[in-house]
Amino acid sequence: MRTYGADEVREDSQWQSIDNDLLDWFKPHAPLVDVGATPPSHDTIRIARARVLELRQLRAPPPDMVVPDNAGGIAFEWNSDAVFSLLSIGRDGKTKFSLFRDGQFVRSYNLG
Amino acid sequence: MADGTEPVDPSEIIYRRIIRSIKGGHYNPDRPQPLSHKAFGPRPIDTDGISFLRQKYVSSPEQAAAEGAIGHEYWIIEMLAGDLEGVGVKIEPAPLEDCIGHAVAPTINASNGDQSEVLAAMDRARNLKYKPFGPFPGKKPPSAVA
Repeated sequence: MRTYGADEVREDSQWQSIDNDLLDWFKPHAPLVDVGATPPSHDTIRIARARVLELRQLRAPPPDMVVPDNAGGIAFEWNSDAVFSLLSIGRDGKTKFSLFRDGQFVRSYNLG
Repeated sequence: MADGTEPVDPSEIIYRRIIRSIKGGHYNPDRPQPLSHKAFGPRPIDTDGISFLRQKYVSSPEQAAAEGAIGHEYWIIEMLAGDLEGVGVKIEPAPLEDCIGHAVAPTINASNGDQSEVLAAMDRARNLKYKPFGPFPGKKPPSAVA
């Protein structure tokens, strides 16, 4: 039986917290986005939760933040000193992973 | 008399208004990286570019927040126009009848916010030096918010 180390327990807890936050986003959006912005739809939130489950099962490190963009999408951000990694779920449900280094675009992958 | 149409000088201080959200906020002082790149993300109504306020036309960060919608609270991110221009986010005057200090950054707008180079610009912008204020209440009816 595999035992979990403290780091894994902490990261799994962080993933759970992210999923709990996404569940909260199903509620009315008034405080979530500004006037004139488009909140994520329930479908987009469901896709985001599915991605959380996939990444959690892969034991990927949790993102530093998960935020709505202002146009109906959701962004997962991982930030290190020079590298910014972005998993975007668009309003149309399409997912893209993008990599940036020192503020410059490096590459992106469409994930469906 | 200045009417908000004069070019934005690189030495000008400008404000970016960010709504305060309990969950998923674009600014959260408790995070190691407080600012999301989406703090500079366009809304569908930002057809001319994302909005800023010129400090010279508001008395305080609190007044800058008051330009936001009533019923919400806002963080005010204070930055230097020249710093933003240096990373490709040039600020241009866009005075409104009820907000002559309104300005926009046309390079980040509703039609290009998901493009890779624009996302890179947002990342560069949020890593610039800034000073946060607030949160303070918005005071405008939603229909009047720029």
